[in-house]
Amino acid sequence: MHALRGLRGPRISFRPVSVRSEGMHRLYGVGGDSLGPDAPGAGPGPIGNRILSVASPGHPGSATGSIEAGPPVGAPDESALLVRLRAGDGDAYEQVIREFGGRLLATAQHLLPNEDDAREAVQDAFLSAFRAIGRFDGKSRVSTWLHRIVVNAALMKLRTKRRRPERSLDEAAVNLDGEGHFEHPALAVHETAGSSLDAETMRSRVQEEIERLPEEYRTVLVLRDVEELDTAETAEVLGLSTSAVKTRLHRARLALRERLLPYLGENGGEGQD
Amino acid sequence: MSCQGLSCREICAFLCEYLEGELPADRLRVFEAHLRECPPCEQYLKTYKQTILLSKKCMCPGATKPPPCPEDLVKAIMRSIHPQAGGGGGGDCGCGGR
Repeated sequence: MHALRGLRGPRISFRPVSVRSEGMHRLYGVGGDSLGPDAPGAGPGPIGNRILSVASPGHPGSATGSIEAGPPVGAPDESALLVRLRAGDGDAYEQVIREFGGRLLATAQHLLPNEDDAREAVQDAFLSAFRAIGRFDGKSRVSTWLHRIVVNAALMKLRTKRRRPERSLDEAAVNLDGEGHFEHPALAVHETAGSSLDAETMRSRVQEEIERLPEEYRTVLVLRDVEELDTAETAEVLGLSTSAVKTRLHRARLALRERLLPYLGENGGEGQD
Repeated sequence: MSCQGLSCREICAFLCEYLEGELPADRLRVFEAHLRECPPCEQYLKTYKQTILLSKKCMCPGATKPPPCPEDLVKAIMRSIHPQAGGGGGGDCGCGGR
């Protein structure tokens, strides 16, 4: 066992990037200060300006950045792990990284198509989490807590990297008549036999189509339908109203449906192995 | 097709709320009555739901078993929190560990 006190040491970059300072962990809502509406990184914004509270599930919490709210729902078997983490046990840190890192990387990759960005977000998230482990009260699962930190880290990267205005998502074409009814039953569904794709090809196609969605719609779709955050949590993370989240989610789903329709056969697009 | 006072356009517009269970009871009854009487809307709902399921399934292929964390990422994270940890050559960290 080796102790990792102080967690000193520069962040390892996968490409030349300056090491960030204390401000980084504050933006993830796990720093020493309680983050209020006036704190750096808080406030409304297109993407990632809000700090997702890392309170336990069922309590999306406020924008205060407090990580000590919520009912006691943590798993009993994690208490020993938390003790070791708070003691700076390096083996415990490595255990957490190995146990949760894969899933967290997948989460980051859903939001950040660039592999290097996704890895950096995960690295940043773990570094921030370990620095603030003393303030994590264990009332939620460690995995939930880490998940929120990674989502915040990924969205922060998106915000800093966005360089061009988002293109709008044209409302998915639906063949409706002037009174809003389907013009012809057959036009509700494309005439297709349900294209037969193997599972791997289907998976690639779905991923491609999701990545083609404009960022502001893709992030909502990913957070809601893939990461399974609820509407309130998604709204808080993205700095949107719940109605805006619902609207963007619906339009994202409609657009994705249109693009995947040729592959949605009787088997529901499962793909063939 | 006009079914139970709701247009197909309204059905399409409120699919999200319907699946979230957020429609008021009286509207839900009308909504479901329309679906029963309108095959195109029923099919539209089916493909909408398939889309949601595909998003989840195809973006999380290892949903039941999380993928392992890449070894180089494990080492990089460990080296970033402790220059002496992580094992192996740390030549890419530039931390000049102690």
